[in-house]
Amino acid sequence: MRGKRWQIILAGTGGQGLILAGEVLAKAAIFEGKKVIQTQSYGAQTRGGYSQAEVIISDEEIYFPKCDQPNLILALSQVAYDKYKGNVTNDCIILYDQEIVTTNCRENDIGYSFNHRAIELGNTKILNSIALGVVLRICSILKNTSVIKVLKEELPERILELNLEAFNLGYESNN
Amino acid sequence: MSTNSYKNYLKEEHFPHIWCPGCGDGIVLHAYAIALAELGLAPKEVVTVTGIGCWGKSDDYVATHALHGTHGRALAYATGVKLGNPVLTVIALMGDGDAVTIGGNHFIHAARRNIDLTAVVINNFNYGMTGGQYSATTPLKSKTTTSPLGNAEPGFDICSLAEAAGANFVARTTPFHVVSLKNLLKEGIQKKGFSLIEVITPCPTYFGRYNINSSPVANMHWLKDKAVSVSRYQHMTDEDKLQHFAIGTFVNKDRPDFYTMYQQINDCKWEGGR
Amino acid sequence: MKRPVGKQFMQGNEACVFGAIDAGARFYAGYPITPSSEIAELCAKFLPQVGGVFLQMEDELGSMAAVIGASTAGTKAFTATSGPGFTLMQENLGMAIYTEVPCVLVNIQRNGPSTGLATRPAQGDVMQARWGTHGDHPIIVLSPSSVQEFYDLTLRAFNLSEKYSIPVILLSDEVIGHMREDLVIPELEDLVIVNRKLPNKPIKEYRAYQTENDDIPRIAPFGSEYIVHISSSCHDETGFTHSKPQTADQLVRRLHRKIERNQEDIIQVEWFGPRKADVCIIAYGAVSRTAKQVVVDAQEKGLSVNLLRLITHWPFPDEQVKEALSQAKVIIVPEMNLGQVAQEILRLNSLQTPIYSITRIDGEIIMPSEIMSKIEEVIR
Repeated sequence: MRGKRWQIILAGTGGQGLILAGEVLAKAAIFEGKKVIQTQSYGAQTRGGYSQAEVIISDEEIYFPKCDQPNLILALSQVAYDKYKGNVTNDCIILYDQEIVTTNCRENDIGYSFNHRAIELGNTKILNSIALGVVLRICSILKNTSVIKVLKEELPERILELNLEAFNLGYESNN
Repeated sequence: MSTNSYKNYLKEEHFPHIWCPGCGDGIVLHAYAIALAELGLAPKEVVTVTGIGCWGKSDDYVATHALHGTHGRALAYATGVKLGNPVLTVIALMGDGDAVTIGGNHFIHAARRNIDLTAVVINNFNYGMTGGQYSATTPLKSKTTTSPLGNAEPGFDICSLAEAAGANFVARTTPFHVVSLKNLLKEGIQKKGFSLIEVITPCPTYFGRYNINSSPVANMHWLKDKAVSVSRYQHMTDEDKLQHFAIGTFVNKDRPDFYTMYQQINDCKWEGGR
Repeated sequence: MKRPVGKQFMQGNEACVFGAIDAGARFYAGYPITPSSEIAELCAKFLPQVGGVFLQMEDELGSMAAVIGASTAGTKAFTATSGPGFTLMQENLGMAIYTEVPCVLVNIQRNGPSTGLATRPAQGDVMQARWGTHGDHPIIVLSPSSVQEFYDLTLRAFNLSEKYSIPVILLSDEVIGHMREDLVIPELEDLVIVNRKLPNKPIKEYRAYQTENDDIPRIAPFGSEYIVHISSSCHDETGFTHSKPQTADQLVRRLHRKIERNQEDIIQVEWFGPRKADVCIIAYGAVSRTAKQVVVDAQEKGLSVNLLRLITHWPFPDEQVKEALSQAKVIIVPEMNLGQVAQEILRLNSLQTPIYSITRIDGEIIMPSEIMSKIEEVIR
């Protein structure tokens, strides 16, 4: 066994802020004294192409830096869902945007209205913070207070409040 | 500095030089040494940077610091030298091949950046060292060893190129006009920002032999006949212009040089390498 | 610039910049290229803050030339690039080797050849790093496999470069360059910084390329009392062009000798897992991370597997690889290329130990399962 370990993939479209979300998750884990590696893959497009961040959080040394046995995948586009639906174990959770993604109804597929919620809050740019909240609610890898601390450190004042609101929304609401 | 002879800037022990009889390179080298002597720059304050070609061999005969590198990159090395130690006087000696053919990209960008360097470009309209092939300054229809029936490409006007790219000082002369040559070199070296001095030079061995005359004297006469002052050139008919070229200063301005702008914008000061 | 110190969490490319600045680098010239551009961006931000200069050149040919220029003026200088840019830099890399100008060239490898998969990792430049520039020449190439090591090896690259008067290539890859993990940055006073040797003779007797017993020249920076002549043409001890056959021969042999005789100092490897094992994986860079996971997983399966990780690529760690070849029953070489290091290991395989090459050139990192199934297949 590889010890207690979380492998999380945040996948979607360039511009959704997923790499930044991965970084926040990773920094929160560092704050809790865990071992973390964050990597990313992206295409040639800065905006609009496929993009993903991978985060591994563990109590022990991490060697292989990529997610070869993911526990949770955030799929914010159809491409992201399709890329993983057939390649993961049954107990891997795929958290998808239910307004965008058509699923194969896997047992561990969980839908959430990410875009819809973001529009309700008045800004699609905070979609990544909502997603972080939902991810933390579904799998209690880290304390929500650790993520809030990192958000406060990393984000500029003018967008901090809205992002905290978004994170809390995701963390507290079911759907 | 009372006895500051031009000889202090030359490695006379390395003479005789390699240039052909009738080549202008030796005259330009002499003028370069006199210019440095008259400016009172110590050899240790000057870095002479060269590339490849006949004029690219000139570093063999200079007593300043020198960097002789690959073909076309003289200005790129010079840029690094200047920013590695901004107190140095950095001068790139290049031929038309180095400066505007293989190294054309570095030439326009050094001028655009307006980095505080002096480029002394000897233009003999062909690659002399490798046997007289055409370069980016070889005029249309001229004969060279790679354009035996005439060149199908027009040549660059080096001064116009430097002017358009943004150089602070742009001038042209010839080794026939030795006094103006020395004076323009001094002016260019003193100018803060990018300076270009183009020296149109005979190559009796190749370009001259194929297009003018193989006699060194005839080539010198050709320079004398073809070169006219900027003001005279401006008043020529288009037809006459085709038969002549202008010598003198085309650009003399004081746009801030790259490193001055860089320090101003980044609010920084050079602190040395180590 | 507030220098990061102590435990940090950052990207490989970021650690490289802090390593370079800590090593004393004050000049960077480069041309942006994925996946190395973060190095340029951070140099643009930080170098002026420490009294240095960042310059975005018109191309990689000029970038490498400007780096040489700055170093000859006495400023530690470096550049960063990826495959296509690395190819353009080969021209002046040769110049820097031949004229013995210290500098560091970082290559964040991406999939190729040509433009290839521009954002995807590869390890296809191992041989280009060794032989990319023409003519016989020595080179030092180091390969980090973690963010911590990217910082450490950047510092070491500058130190080796200054010590041996030779360009050093840091051969990393997209995975390590873009990966974020924690590292510890030491206090400035705890760092060992090496600076190039300066003249130790009176001006009249000084010859820039004259070497003593160590084969290493003492080249003064431009601007000092010691007038220096640096030439990309064949040169003698004075630095001036000299075209006698004997001069050409002696110069290149000395360049090789100064590296060969110091291999012990230059070559670094890491042994991971049991010191002796039936299966030895030889890997480097990102793929060595896969291999470490396999060594751990194998232990749990009761399989005897260890890893020889190459930290120094060139000069090649012949002795360490020979040791692996003599100890293991099977050698496995996973690489994100078509076997560039495996071929080098074959050269040393006088014992005819079975060598299995695992190759991947699709822009994806080799997975632990790929190596594990190979092990299970070959030890059966």
